[in-house]
Amino acid sequence: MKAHDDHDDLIQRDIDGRITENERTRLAALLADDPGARQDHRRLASLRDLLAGLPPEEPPAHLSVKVLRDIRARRGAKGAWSFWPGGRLALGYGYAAAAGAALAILAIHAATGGRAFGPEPSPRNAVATIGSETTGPWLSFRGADGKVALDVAAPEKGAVDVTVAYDPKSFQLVGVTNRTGGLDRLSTGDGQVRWSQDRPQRVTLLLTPRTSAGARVEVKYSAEGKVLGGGSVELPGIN
Amino acid sequence: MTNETDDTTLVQGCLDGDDQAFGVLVLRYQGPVFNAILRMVRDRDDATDLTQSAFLKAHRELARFDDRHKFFSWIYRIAINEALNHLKRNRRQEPLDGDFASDDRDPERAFAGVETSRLVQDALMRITPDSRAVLILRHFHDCSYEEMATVLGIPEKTVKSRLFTARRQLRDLLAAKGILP
Repeated sequence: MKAHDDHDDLIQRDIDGRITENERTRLAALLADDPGARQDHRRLASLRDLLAGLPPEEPPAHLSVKVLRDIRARRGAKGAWSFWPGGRLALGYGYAAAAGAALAILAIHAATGGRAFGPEPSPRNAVATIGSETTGPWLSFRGADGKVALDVAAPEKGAVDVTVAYDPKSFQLVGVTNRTGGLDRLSTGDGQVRWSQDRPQRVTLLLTPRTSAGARVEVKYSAEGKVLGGGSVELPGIN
Repeated sequence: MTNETDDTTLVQGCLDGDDQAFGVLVLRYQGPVFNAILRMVRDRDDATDLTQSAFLKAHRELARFDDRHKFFSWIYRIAINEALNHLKRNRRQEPLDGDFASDDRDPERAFAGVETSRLVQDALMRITPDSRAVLILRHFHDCSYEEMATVLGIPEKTVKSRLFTARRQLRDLLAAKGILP
């Protein structure tokens, strides 16, 4: 019985890559002499190889954003917050890649509440802007280390609900930041980022292009179910 | 804080009130944690909720984290406990997939990636959650016996015996379906 346990332990340690040289020699002798042990070892190795070949599942794209949102909600704070996995952009807009300014504007379209007046690269390396002549640009994007930073500042003084819609096949949302405070009910999922604000806010979404084609992102802001304005902008794909 | 910052520094940053540091930890471990929980409970929506819950709990109890251990062991422990508690709360027989219950599967088709993954998951759901946990940590997360003992809060000897039994159970289930010789 003891010898049997030792054999099982040897086989298990080999399957788990924990075997010593001395044990390896003993295992080789065991496998040469014992057909049952040989079969057991072969079948367990097959199991190990089968499991090792199974690909991991991708977690939902919005998971990290939801976690950070819930942490903030638990604190009950309304202060500025940010979530940038790379950390660099959290230091300020000035770190946005200067090369982003060279990106071409693919399209700009104002749905309501403003009209396109780009291209007008801003000091923050915006490569496309959309807004009204009175409020200034409220929707812009810029390149940032292979990602696209989309700035949204709905030009409405009162409380509004803002929805940003993107194609999750074209972009992965990797971060949302708001430095001015006052966002409520931020939620993400199904290719949308939604929040409510009781005063003007600037919110930045960091998106990673999934394809080279680029795609249009639409933004609208509404109050009491009535759309007050919106626009859309074509974001570039992978360079 | 960047993606290259080590876990200990990030944890300290979190304790100093830096949510961004915790964001980096979430990004770093959301994949492994989500996958561990998904293998435990199978349902993707449940796994999403439980992963979120695990990270919230980690953030809430971060001050209790013992930095003599690795952060990943700690977050895995929280994640596995979340999954085990969820399974206890929803103590019901997991419905078996009809395909798994039948014997008419074409063995060649069964080796196709998605099918195999599903059949393995079905088989995993047929063994006890405690046994499932050791298999998941060992085979999908490459944890050592010592790490598994830390994550599961059991002696290393128990890890080995549990792994021994669980592996043979899974092997026999898959062999019965022609997935393994």
